[in-house]
Amino acid sequence: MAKQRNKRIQFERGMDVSLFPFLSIFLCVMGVLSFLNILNSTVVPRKLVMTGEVGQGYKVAYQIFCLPDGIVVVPPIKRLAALRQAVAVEEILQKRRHQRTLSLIEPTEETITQIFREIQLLNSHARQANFLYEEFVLFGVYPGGADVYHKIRKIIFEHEELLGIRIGLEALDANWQLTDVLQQDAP
Amino acid sequence: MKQDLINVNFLTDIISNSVGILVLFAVLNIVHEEKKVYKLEVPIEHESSLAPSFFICKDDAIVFIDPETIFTNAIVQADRGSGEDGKVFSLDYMGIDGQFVENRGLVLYPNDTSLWNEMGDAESEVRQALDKLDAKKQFAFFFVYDSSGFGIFRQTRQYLKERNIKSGWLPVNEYNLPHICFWSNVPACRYFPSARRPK
Repeated sequence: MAKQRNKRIQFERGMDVSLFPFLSIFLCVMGVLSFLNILNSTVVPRKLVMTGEVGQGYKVAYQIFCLPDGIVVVPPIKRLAALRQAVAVEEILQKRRHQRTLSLIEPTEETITQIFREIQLLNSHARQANFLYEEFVLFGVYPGGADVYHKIRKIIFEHEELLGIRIGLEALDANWQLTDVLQQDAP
Repeated sequence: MKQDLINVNFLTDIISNSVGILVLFAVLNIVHEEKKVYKLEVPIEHESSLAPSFFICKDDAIVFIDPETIFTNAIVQADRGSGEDGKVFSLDYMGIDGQFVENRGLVLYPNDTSLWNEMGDAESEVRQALDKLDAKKQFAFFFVYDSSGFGIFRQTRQYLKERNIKSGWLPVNEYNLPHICFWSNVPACRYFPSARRPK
């Protein structure tokens, strides 16, 4: 009888419980979520776009990312579209629009010389038309990408006519992710 | 003894609110990170009259290549005949071996990096070498191993940037080894610093 009376009193008051286990669970959950939050901000791949550290605003980066098994190219498009006002670049523009899918390609001699010749052609056309536009190449080297970079360098050295293009080089971490953001044309 | 007692409804309310807010923060953070694109400013290589000072970055450690010591030791080894027929010989310097290769000069084989320095040690030889660089006459050139040298290279480059010292670099690995040569007509022997935007 006494037990039943106590239970009824407890029920009427609301259930009284010890503070300790709840605070413990509360802090644990908070800790775990904070940890996940911090982990997320450090481990989740960072999206990046490379820009040249150049003072002049008319210089535009053609990005080449060197990975262990090939290259990914991100040619500039947005700024090239502006060049259309002065020079006939429709063909190159269309080609780049189709090419822009962040796919891995093999850095063959043909591919590399084609890229560099295209840049030279655009720069030369822009100069002739007195249009402020100059493309340069930015290499992003991922861990394990040194061989691919050296292969490209060798191809460029073997074609002396391609040596005039400005080059930048950056070391990238494995968790830095490539982006294909059309608005991110460098500089 | 009186115990701290609390109403379970009240506690559940606090816990669910706090957890809810944290989950919301986590989701917002993920969404924000997904959209965020980091802009990485890359310095552009250019020709310069500055002389290169060579460093190698490997296994999260860095070493200054003292040209005087390296070449003196290499010449001694050559005189002894150790470097003949493209043989690899010991340079007696920081666990580095050497090899003379046509069109590449002195190729360096960093085998043992246990004697190399980390950037945190202000008294280290490498920090002294970096601090001695004269911005008007020299720039630092890094041979960076693509497997284990990127982190310390970026740290060192930042250290030099704060001191207005220019730097250049080349990714290397066991197939494309660091090499030092000074033939200006050989493309592989040209070491360029990178220009930074004037502040």
